[in-house]
Formats: sequence, C-alpha cells, structure tokens
Amino acid sequence: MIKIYFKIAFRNLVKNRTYSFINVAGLGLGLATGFIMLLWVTNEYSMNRYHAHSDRIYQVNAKLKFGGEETVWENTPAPVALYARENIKDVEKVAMLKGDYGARQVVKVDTTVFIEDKIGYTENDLFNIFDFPVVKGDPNKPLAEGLSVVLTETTASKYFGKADPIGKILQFKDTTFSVSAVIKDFPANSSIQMNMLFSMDIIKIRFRGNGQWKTIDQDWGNYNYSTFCLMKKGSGTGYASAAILAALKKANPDAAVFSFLFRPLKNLYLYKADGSKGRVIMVEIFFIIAVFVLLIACINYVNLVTAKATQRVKEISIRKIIGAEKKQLFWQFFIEAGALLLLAALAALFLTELLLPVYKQVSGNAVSYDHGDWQLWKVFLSILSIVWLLTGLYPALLLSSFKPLNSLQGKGILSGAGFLRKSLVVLQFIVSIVLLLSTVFIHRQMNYIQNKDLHINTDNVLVFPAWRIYEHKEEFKNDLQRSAKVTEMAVSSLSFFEGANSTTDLDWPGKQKDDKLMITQVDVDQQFLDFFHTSINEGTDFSKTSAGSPDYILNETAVRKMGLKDPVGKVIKFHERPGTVIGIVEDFHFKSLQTEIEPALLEYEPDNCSVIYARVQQKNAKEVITIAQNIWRKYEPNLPMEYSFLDDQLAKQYDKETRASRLFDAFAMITLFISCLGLFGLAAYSAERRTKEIGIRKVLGADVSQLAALLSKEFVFLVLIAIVIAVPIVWIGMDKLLNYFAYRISLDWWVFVLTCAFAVVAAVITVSFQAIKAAVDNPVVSLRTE
Amino acid sequence: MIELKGIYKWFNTGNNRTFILKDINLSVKEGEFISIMGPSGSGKSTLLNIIGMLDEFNEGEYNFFHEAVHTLKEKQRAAMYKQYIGFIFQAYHLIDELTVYENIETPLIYQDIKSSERKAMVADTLDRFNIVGKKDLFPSQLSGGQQQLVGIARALIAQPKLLLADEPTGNLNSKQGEEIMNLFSELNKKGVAIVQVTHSEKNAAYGSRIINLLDGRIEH
Repeated sequence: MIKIYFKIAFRNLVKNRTYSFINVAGLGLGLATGFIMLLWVTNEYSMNRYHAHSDRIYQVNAKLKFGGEETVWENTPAPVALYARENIKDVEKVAMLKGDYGARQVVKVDTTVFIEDKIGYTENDLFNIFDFPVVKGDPNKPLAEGLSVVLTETTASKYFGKADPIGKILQFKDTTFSVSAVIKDFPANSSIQMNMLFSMDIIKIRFRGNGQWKTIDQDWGNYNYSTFCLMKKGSGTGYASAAILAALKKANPDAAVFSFLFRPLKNLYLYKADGSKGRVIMVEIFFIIAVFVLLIACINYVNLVTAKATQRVKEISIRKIIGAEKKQLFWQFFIEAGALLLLAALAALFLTELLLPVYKQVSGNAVSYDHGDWQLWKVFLSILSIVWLLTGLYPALLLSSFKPLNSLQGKGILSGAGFLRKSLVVLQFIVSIVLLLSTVFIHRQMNYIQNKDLHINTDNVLVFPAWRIYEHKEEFKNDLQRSAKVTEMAVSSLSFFEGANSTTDLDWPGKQKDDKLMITQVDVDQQFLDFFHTSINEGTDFSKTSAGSPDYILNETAVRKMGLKDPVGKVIKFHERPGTVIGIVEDFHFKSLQTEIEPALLEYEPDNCSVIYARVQQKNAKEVITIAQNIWRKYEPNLPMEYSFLDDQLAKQYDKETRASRLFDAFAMITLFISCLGLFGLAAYSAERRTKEIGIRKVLGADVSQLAALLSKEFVFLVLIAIVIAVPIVWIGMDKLLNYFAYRISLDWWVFVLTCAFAVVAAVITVSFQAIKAAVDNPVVSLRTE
Repeated sequence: MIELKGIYKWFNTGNNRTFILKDINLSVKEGEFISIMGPSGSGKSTLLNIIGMLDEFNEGEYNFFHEAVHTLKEKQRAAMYKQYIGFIFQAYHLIDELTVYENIETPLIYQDIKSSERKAMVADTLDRFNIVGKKDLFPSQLSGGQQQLVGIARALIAQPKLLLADEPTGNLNSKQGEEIMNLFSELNKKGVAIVQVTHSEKNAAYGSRIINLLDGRIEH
C-alpha cells in the first residue's frame, strides 16, 4: 500500500514539475537554513553540560560593591577553596584553576622552543569534578608530587612525537617539570580550554606574600583564582555561600565583597556572571529565527497544495466513489507530503554541505558537522518529522474530507482554505519584513558606532605590545624611531579597547565617606596626548611635568563623577600619593563603544608604559614592520613580535556584531526569497484559475498593465497588511535591543518606508511576472481552454 | 435487494422549497435490470446517486439488503457500498494519473486485498475485457469507448451485486454504445443487478423494466 502511495506521489511530482520545484527548492533551502541554525543552537546549549556531575558543579563568584555600583568577579581569593574543602560539609570536592597570562609563555623541550598559550595551574580534584579523561598516568592524581605537568594529547605529541611522554622533561620559566599524565584534549563544548596544566603548588611556593598576607592560603584579598565546587547530592549552595563570606569577613573585615555567588556550570557559558542573559539571547534569537524560517518554508507547501487542490478534486472524488475511505486518502496525501519532503531533505543536505563553510566563515561560529555524529542526525530527523506534520497534516485532512458528489459537480469547495492561505501569506511576510527591517537597523547601528568620533585619531597607528621585551622597550622604541624614521611615537600602559587597570584607591576634596569611584589608570609619556590629537579643555598637558612626579590629568567624566569644582590645581590622592590636577582632557574612548566612557586618570609614568604606538605613512607601513621585527630580534630572539593597526583593533571590537549583522542579512534574504517563491506559486495558480476572465477582459480591451494590476492587487494587499503588523513589532523590539548599546541610533521613519517599499517591490515583481505572462497570452487560446 | 419508500429530496431557496424527488417508491430485486428515463432535470441522476449512497435524501426510507441505509453511520454505509456497489459514469471518470492497470486495481486496494490476489484479479479482468494490451496506457491515450470499458472493468472488479450506470453510453458513438449495452446484458445474465439512467429508448429496452421520471415523480 505504502509503495503505491509513493508511486502516485512521485508521478504527481513529476507531472507538476514547476510546482514541485518551487516546493522542493523552498523547503530545501528552509530546511538547510533551519538545520544549520539549530545545529549551532544545540552546540551552544551543550556547552559544559556533558560532565557526569554537571548539575552539581558550581563556579564560585564574588559580588563586590564599589560606591553604589555592584560588580561580579568570576575569580575568588585562594583561601576560598581551602576553606570550602575543610569546613563546608555540603561541598564534596573543590578545585582551583588559574590561567598563566604572563608575557613569557615559552616552553623548552631540550633545545626546542615552543610558544604556548592556554597554560594553567590547578589541583588534582579538577579531574575528579569534571570529566576530563586521563589517558596516561594516575587517573585520580594526574599531577604527581613535586614539579610535574599534565599535557593534553595534542600538546604531548607536539612536544614528544610518538614517544611515551610520561616522565619526559620540559622547562617553563626556568624550572624543570616532568610530565606525569596525559589527558584528552578539552572538547570544543567546554569553557575550560587548556593545553598544559601545572600544579597549584607551584604558585603557592612562589607566593612571596604581599603586605598583610604572608602565604597564599591567607591571602583573602586577591581575586585571582577560578574556584569550582562539586556539591554533594541534594545540597543547596546557600549555606556554603554564607559560610565563605563569614570566613572572608573575619580575615578581611574591610573587603568590598558582600556575597559569594555559586554559579551553575551549565550557565557559565550562556549567562552573565550576575545571572542576567548573556550569550543565551543570541542563541534564543537564532532559535526563533530558525523556527520561523522552517515555518515559512512549510507555509509554502501548505499554500501551494491547497491552492492546487481544485485540480485534484476530481481524482479525490473518483477515489471516494470507487471505495476509498477518508483514512486511506489521508495517508495518500500525507505520504505525498512525505515524498516531497524526502526530496527537499536531500536538497537540504546538499545545500548544507555547500552553505556550512560559508556559514562558518560569515558567523565565526564553529558548528561541528560530523556525518557519523548521531546527535546531528537526531536534530535533522526531528526537524523533518515536525516539518512533515506541519506540511502534511492540514492538506491531507482538507483533501480527504471532500464530499465526492459536490466536487464532481463542481460545487463550492475550499472556501475556508482561501482565507487560511491568505493569512499564512500575511504571516510569511510579517516574518520577512520584521527580519528585513531588523537587519537594516542593525546595519545602521553598526555603521553608527564604527564611524562615531572617538575623540582620538587612530589613523595609521601601529601598535607594538612590548611586554615581552620589557627591559628593552625604551631601546626598541628609540631604535625604531631612528632606523624607520618614524617621527610620531608615544607609549602608554593602555591597550586601547581592551581591559585597563582600574582602582578605587582615590581620594579627592569633598569626597564622602561612602563614595567609591572606579577609575582607570592610564600611564603615558609626554607625547601621548599630542599623538592621539586629544584636546586639553583646562590646564596644561604633561610638557612641564617631570617623569614620575605626581601631576594628574583627569578626563571630563572623572571630574563629573567626582563632583570636583574648579579641578585644576586641586590636590587629590591617588594610591595614597598626593598630587595636583594639572589639566582636564576632553573625554576620549579607550574602550569599545558598547560601554560609555569611564572615568580616567592620566599620569606621566613612562616606566609603566609597555605599549608602543607609532604613526606611519600608509605606503611604508610594511617597511616599518620589517624594520621593527629586525630590531625586536636583537632583544628577544625566541618570541615573535606582536603588532597590529589600531584601526583593525577597533574593528575587531565589533567583530561579533558585524558577523551577527551579516548573518541577519542572510536570514532576512532567505526568508524573503522563500516567501516570494511561495507567492510566485500562488500567483501562478491564481493566473491559471482566472485564465478565462483574463481572456474576456482582454477581448473587451484591457491592456497588459491593467491586467497585471488586476492580478497583483490581491497579493500586494496581503503584503501591505503584513507591513502594518510588522512595523510596530520592529519598532518596539528594536528600541529594546538598541538600548543595550551605550550609543545608539534613533529609529527613523524613512528607513521603515524604504525597507517596506523594497518588500512590496519584491512582491510586485514576483506576482507581475505571472500576471504579465497570463496577460500577454492570446485571448482566443485562453478562452478556448475553458 | 433495494426498497425505497416515500423518498423526498428538496432544497430551500428563500421561502420556496424546490422538490427534486417526490414520493419515490421503488424496489429492485436481485438480478434485475432497470432503466430510468426522463427529461433533463427530472431527477434521474439524483435518484441514482441516492441508490448509490452518494447523495442523501430528506424524507423516506431506504433499505438495502434489509439494512436501513438512512440510519447507518457513514463508516458502515461506506463499507456496505464498497462491498455491493459499482459505479459507471457518462464521463468515465478515470484517474488521469494512473494507468489502465492501476485504475482497475485501485478499488481492490481500498478493500485491503493482498497484492498477489490483486494481481490475479486484475489480470483476469483485463483478459475478460480484452484490454490486456492497453494495461500500461494512461486514460488520455485511449478512445472514449476504451475508456468506458476500463470504467466498467473498474466498477466490476470487486464483484458488486449492483451496478449503477449514469448514461454510460452518452459520450460514445452508436457502435461503441451497442457493445457496452451487450456487455450489460451479459453481466445481467450472470446475476448482477443493473440500474441505468439513459436518454435512449433503444438502450432502455435492454432493461427488464423501465421507470419514467417526470418532475421528480415516477410516472405510472
């Protein structure tokens, strides 16, 4: 029976080639797009969830209050772990993890030098809390006593080839370590990514104490360690959090921390530290778009089938008269939808192969696509079955419930289906227009912040981070200036658009007891302010200051937030050091434009400046870089020189948004395309149905444009309804979204008008094609067909 | 076999009630061959459709093999209809998308007959109607007479007790028409009851009884 249904289905598909093609193409494109997006969504949701105990693993975060402002730090002081391990019964296991972000991450194996990132320090319990399988070595204590190191498989084979790495020697920071274990590479869906892990003991031994804290186990003041707790089954985190806070307050009564937050491992990646939605917003938006893209593709199928139903009425009636039951007809049409879906699925798989590399490039999102992965097929098959239900159910129910006699005699059928079809077209265009408008506004926003005046001149500025040649940075700068004939140079402690040092250790006249201001410390040389073309609003720059003397320049925001009146000449205390405010610099952006300008304090302290800036001519930039590399090698033969253009760094800040906006472009165009494809099919049937009417009108003297207008009218009307519904949705949604940006565009009415006009034009072109085709046909021929 | 008692069918237009059938009393015995005649609009086809359970009536009783059709549920009626009745149309009404073979086979599929059995039955029927050579052709490739032959073959394959024919020769030339009528006589002799609607005195004469309809009433 099923075989026969399939045979009939395929015969029908071949017979109505255009219609089948529209359906397969639309559905295939929709499926492929939805599939790729849902793959990405499942990837994102799987982050950190694969560990056997993932429900009981928490990262301890600290909530601190500076002035009125609360912040969450993802790291804790080291004693938190120790205290939790020894004193809190709810905690089963606890482990610290600390990344090594030093300047000299060089690993020596024999005489070979490897530059390594993702180096960390941890404790053995990390491997018992998480599922990071140990391949070689003691699975419970991969980090052996003494100076040992754990490598991932990739790192081990990079260092030692095929030889057994256990017991092999490597050098890191002038210390010799022996490899005690090899673990599997960290999977892509783990937030923790390391290449090699040393024992936390190294850090404990090297801890030299700082002021009040003698050992690392007593240092309740430095938030440097990521602390992971595995809670006992059934234990809440409330007690543990309170106990840790009490212990900290006892050791360090002045601490700004007011709460410890146990952040579930599952939320680590998708949510922000304070529990608000982070990356998950993007994931949810993608999920919703994926569902809509699929829905739009399904609507095409349903609309085309019901539109074409009139042609199949005769067949259905005969089948009923010769004994078909409703159930049997239902299955025939349901399987027919399935057969078409099968073709669409093949097309989708083909398109996925084609689109996935493009998608990866555009989005920068790594989507794992491994044909042997069952997870992947699970996603695909669930999409297919849902789509099958959506596309098959309604047409099959509709078509199988005809009264045979009525339809054979040509009596009214399907009047309800016409209204549904129109509503579905409206829905398609609502989605298309919402996406289209959103993408236009996102583009405008991106353009706006990328072209916004930063109040610094970033043209042709080369940046050389010089931490790796810290002792020689002055010589490097002077050599470069001399050999490459670079005239404009400056140094600073500040790497633009990245994190900068901030502190609350600031005192000023009129400061209240509870006032705490987080201020960014920017150390510069005398050239810095000139170099970036900043302007001094009041007072002077550093030209009369001698290096290291306590003259301070504040930015406007700092003055405003401190509430200083007549700031120039006032004495303030920075890190307990009194100094004079000698000038006020106009606010300039030193972080990305997603955040507002923060208070900043500048001091002339060239010794602290390890980022070198050079303004070059565009044409000889390459030459300057080559010269710089040669100079660099003199001071640091092993480590490569890092450099970048400031403009590129700026662009990189918006990388994520730029990529997202490009993806939105693609989704908007795909949905519009699929919607128009459906409209094309509907228009074709409408024209076919009205062949006789068109013929008569033509005989009576109507010209082609009048006929095209006649046929286009009903469809354009639907698009207009969609616009009326879509515009307020976008208006409200976009307004909310744009508020996430510190600097945002306004929603201009003319953008709405132009974009909607574009959608209307696309619809009109689609429909008129059919309309004109029908209208230019010879009326005698079209009348004869009736 | 069939008992129609006081059948009325009408529809309402505004305040007027238009009668299509009025007080029809008719009984058909097994193996009978009845011709229904009458001018256009006299209700012939409606009567045939009511007998064939494709149409409903507003008043009266209809017993089919002692079952009261008007009280049966849709499903039971469909089952009964599938088992006992075959239909033939003036416009043949073959399924354009199916071959001759498949058209004839379809009723068997709907009766859940096994594939091997179906094959044997269709082969048998093709043979009997002398259309073995045409089995892979589509309806559009056949002449009108051939199409009607396929239509009859399809109606008969499930061995109905009652064959209903709505002007079966209306679209055929006289020679083809005569062949079809001879076929009907033959079938009737084998025990199949036939009710046909026709405009032709000549064709009506093949029947054992003629019923004349005028304005929805049986003329006596």
